[in-house]
Amino acid sequence: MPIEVADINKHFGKLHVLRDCSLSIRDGETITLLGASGCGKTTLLRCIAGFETPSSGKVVLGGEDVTRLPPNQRGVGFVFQNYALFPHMTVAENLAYGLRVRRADRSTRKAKVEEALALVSLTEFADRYPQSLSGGQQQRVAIARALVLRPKVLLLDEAFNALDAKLRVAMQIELRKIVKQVGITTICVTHDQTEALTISDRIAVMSKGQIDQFATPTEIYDTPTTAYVADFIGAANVLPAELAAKLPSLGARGSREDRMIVIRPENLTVRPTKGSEPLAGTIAFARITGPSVEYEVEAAERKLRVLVSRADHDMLDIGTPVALDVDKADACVAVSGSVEGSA
Amino acid sequence: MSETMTTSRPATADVAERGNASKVIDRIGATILAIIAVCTVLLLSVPSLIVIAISFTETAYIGFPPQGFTFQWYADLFARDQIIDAAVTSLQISAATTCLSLALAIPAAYGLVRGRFFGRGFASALIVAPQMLPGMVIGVATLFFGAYIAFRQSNLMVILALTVFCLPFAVRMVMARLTQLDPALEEASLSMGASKTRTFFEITARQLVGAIIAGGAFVAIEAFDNLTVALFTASPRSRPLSVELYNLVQFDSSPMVAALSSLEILAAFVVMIVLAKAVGLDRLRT
Repeated sequence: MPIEVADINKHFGKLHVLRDCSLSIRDGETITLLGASGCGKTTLLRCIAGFETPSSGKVVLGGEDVTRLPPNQRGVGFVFQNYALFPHMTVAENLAYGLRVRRADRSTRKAKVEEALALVSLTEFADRYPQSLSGGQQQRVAIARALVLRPKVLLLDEAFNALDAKLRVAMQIELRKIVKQVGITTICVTHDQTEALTISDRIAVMSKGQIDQFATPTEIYDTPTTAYVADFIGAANVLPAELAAKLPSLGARGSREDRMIVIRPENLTVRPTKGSEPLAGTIAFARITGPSVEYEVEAAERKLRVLVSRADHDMLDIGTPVALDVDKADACVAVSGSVEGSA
Repeated sequence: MSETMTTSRPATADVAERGNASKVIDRIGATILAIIAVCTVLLLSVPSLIVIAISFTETAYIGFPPQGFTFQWYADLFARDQIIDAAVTSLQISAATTCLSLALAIPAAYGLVRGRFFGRGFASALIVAPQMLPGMVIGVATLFFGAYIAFRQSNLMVILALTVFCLPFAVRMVMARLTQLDPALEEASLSMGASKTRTFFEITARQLVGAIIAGGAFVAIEAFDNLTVALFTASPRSRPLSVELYNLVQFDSSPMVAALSSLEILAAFVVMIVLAKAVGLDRLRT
C-alpha cells in the first residue's frame, strides 16, 4: 500500500518537533527514517500509526486520508522498541489477540498463528510466556504478532535496538526477506546507519524535525545534499569551499561562499613531502583497518580522515609531513549548510 | 604491626591496618542497626501481644500479667447481640466502602496517569489531599455539611465519609502500578484493531489486578476498624464495631475488650497473609 505523508507539522507545547515533513512511499517499498535521537523520527512514525495527531498536514494510506482516524482503524502493524508483548498471554495468545479482535474463528486463528510462528521459527515456543524468552525471540514474536494480521503497512520503531550486534544483523536480513516475501510497505526508525543501509530501499535522513534528504542508500552516500547527511552516513571530511579549492586535483568548485565540499576519506590521498604544498599537514594518528590504513591528518587547523589501501602504499609514521590531494574529483560533492550541531 | 613489616612493606601494612579499622566500624554499625531494628519490631508488636495475652485472663478486670487461662471473654463477646450487630454493621460498611472506593479509584487513577488535560496536576493533588487530613476533620466536616442538606448520621454517611478518607490509598496504589506500565502495551492493542474499551479490559486491567486487590484490602481494613471518621458520622442506633469498642472501653474495663481487639488483630493478620500469598508482599507497598 503506498503511503503519502504531506507537510506534517507537530508541536508539543512550544516544541516544534516536526517541520513540513513530506514523504512519498511506493507500494512494497522498505524505507528508513534515520537520524540522531531527538530529530523527530519516532514522532513522525507515531503520526503515521495514529498514536499522535499531527498539528497540520496529512497522512494518506493507499489513497485514503487517515489523518484523523484512530490507530485501531488504520490496519497498520507496529513493532515497538521494547516489543510491548502482553505479559499475561502466551506467545500463541499474543499472536491470536488481533485475530480475536477481528472475530476470526478458532480454527482460522490456530492455523494463522502456526503459520506466523513458523515464519519466525518459533513454533516450539507457542505456549511460553514472553518473559521467559530471550530478547531476540521476543523481537521475533513482536514481528510475528504484527505480521499475522497481514497488514498492508508495517512500522518498526528502533525494533533492533535491544539486540546484540550479531543477532541484529541476522534479524535485519531475516526481516527484509519476510517483508519482501509478503510484500508489505515498511517504515523503520533507527539511529543506526548500518541498519538503515542493510534494510532500506530508500532512506530519509532527518535532523531537527526536518527531512534533509530522501533517497536510495547509494545516492545518500555518493551525493549527500547537506553537510549533516554527509556527516551522518559514513565518514566524511566537510571542508569550506575555499579550503577545498587548494587541493590540486579538485580545483575551484561551488564558487559560492556558503558552500561546503564533502570528501569521503577514501577519496583523499596523502604523500610524504618536504617542500611547500598548497595543502599540507602532518600525520597525527594511523590505524590499520584490515586492507586499508586510516590516517588522521592535521592540516589547516582541522583533523582530516584519509583512508588508503595498503596494497599500493607504504605506511607513514606519525609526525610525517604530507601533501593532501583527492584522487577522484567527481566523487566530491558540494553541499549547503555547516556540520555544526551534527551528531 | 612489627617494625620490619612496616619498613619492608609499608603500603601493604597500612592498607591492612585501615582495612581492619573499617571492618570494626562496620561491625559496630551493623550491631547498632540490628538493635534499633529489634527495638522497633518489639515496639510495634508487643502492645498487640499484651492485648492478646490479657484476653485470656481469668480476672474480671484488665490487668497485666494475665492470671490463669480462659475463653470466657470470647464466649461473652459472642453472647452479646450488640457486639454481633456492630460487627455486621462494620462488615457492611467495609464492603460498601471498598466497592465504592475501587469504582472511583480505578477510573480516576487511569485518567490521572494516562490523561492529558488541563488541570491534571491540580486534580491529582485534590484527590490525594484527604490523606493529609486527620480522619476527625473529615468526620466533622461531613457531619456539618450533612446538616446543611438534612443528611443525618447513618451507615450511608459513614460509607461516604470513609470513601473520601480511603480513596487516596486506592488511587495511589493503582496509579503506582499504572505509572510502571508501558503505554506501548495499550498502543500495541490499538494497533491490532482493538477498541479503547477492549484494550482497557483485556490488557490494562489485567496488569492492574494486583494493585486493585492490594488497594481494596487496605481500604477494607481501614473502613472496618476506622474510629475517627465513624465517631462523627455513625448513627447512634447502628454503631460500627470500632465505635462500640470505644464505648465499651470507656464504661467497662472487662477483658472482653481485649478479646475483641485480639479477634481484630487476627482478622487483619489473616487478610495480610492471604494477600501476600495471592499477589506478593512487594506489590503491597505504596
